[in-house]
Amino acid sequence: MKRIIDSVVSTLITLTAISFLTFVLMKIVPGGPFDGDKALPPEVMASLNAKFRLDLPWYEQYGLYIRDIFTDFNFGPSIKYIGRSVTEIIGDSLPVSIELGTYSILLALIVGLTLGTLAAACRGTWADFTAMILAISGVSLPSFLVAALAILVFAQGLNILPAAFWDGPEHRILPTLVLGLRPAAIIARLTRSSVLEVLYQDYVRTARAKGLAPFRVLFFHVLRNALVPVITVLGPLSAQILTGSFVIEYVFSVPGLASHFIQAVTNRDYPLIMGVTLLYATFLVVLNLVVDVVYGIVDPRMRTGG
Amino acid sequence: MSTANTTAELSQPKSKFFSLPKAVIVSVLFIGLLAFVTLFAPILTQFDYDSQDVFRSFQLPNLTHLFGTDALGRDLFSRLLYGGRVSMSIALVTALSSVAIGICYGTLAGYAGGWTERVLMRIVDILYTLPSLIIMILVMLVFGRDLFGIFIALSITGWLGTARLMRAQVKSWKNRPFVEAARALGMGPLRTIVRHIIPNCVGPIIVELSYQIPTNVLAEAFLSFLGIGLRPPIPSWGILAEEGWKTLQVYPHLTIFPGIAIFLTMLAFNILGDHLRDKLDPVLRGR
Repeated sequence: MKRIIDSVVSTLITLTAISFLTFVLMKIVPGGPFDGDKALPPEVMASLNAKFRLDLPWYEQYGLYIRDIFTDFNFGPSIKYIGRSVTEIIGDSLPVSIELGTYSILLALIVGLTLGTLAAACRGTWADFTAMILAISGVSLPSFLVAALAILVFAQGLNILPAAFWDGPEHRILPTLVLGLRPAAIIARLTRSSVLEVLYQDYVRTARAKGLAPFRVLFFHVLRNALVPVITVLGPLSAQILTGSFVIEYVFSVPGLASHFIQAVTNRDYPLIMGVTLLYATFLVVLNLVVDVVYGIVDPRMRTGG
Repeated sequence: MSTANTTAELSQPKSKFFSLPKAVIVSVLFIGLLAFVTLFAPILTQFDYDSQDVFRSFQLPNLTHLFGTDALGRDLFSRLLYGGRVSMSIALVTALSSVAIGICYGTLAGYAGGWTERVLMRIVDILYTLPSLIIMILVMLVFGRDLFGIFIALSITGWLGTARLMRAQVKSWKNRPFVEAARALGMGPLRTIVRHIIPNCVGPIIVELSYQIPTNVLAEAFLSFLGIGLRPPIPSWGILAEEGWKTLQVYPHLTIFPGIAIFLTMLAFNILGDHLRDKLDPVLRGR
């Protein structure tokens, strides 16, 4: 229990630190958001600055920003998408990214766990060898190359799947496959070594000696314990998916959060950058907290250690 | 003792070279070849990476232009070689600098102990939860989209793993009898660290370095591909891919060749890294 409270407190500290750092960073960035446009009359600049609160001292800006988030979940107006608030933009694009991310992580878990367990169970055979070649290639492949090949083969060559956009279920297939590849490879490698470690423990030998069926031993004795390290990487893995979504959403023209973030960076739309960064950070920090708690439940050895 | 094994293995690489797994030998040879062709790019190709020839744009691979030409008629083969120079030097330099930062930071935390250690490692934990890509993008915004900006962006995000590793290493070494003996003989903390602790961590540091290089190759390509990393005309592999992407469906070779260059490089370094980890760092095996 103490461990959980500790994690919650550190999560809150982390989020405060991140929001503050991002805010300060946005202030240091050279060049204002209106620099790219034609030279504006001073009165217009003044009213723009007033609208986006750029005329206040930075600490007041920060205070008001945080207050707005907590009072009415308002991340401020977007600078480049005129008339739209950051909250609206996030509301439109976040579900898309979550959907894509969920499909990919499910795919990665299914493929990765199967491949990893298979490789460990058939250690030293051609199956193990093939699985591990696939896995190390999956870790090394840049996703734009996989995306390029996927588009060339399935969209252009065979003409069975669309290469872009996010309308029907057929638009989900290629992005999910390409995004899930790298995490699947990571999970496969991790599962293999984790299963191998458990496979030669005394309690597994005992279970075998009792005459239990090999599959039963593999699923109930080995996998249950081997899964613990896999759970701990779910946090970093989601970060991986999130990072991967940048390229995937860009190349497949998926209208998700990542493509808006890249747009925001190119346009120097600071409120949007800030909002999305905070959202990403909150998501990952909370996820890590959950993983931390689940870890304690799955592996009782961790409860006292911390 | 584990150190005895590590140093023994480090000291006789030549005689052991041919007993290495084939994949590792091929990887080492590939990295050597890569270093050679990027270093001697001007000799190996008759074309400049930026000399344009609009009458020869979008050529498919042929005898004069081994990998074809791009939209401006620039030879893709020489662009790949010069791009490899840029990508590899960025990856190497940033890997070295981030590992160096990590060594200093982690050693300080591990050696100091107490609340210094707790504060320093809490900062690492906080940064660890953020995806490094986001930090890189924000840093690039501040420092600009040039070589210096990408150097800072990659260095600032790459040191966390090394810092954690060094802290753990220093904590496990600092109370060993030979270190205590050195201290008892009046050796200062800096000298103790440099002479007695760090030499014992060389194995894990090399492993860390060998993983940091492919990570940075990918990160640079990633940022440049999205149009938020380096800017043309610097020819990095990411930029080549980004330029090629615009005409993917018509001239796929402009995207595929840079992609394969990145893939093979990452594969070679990852295979080498896995091997080094298994040999030099029994603690991290199977991480």
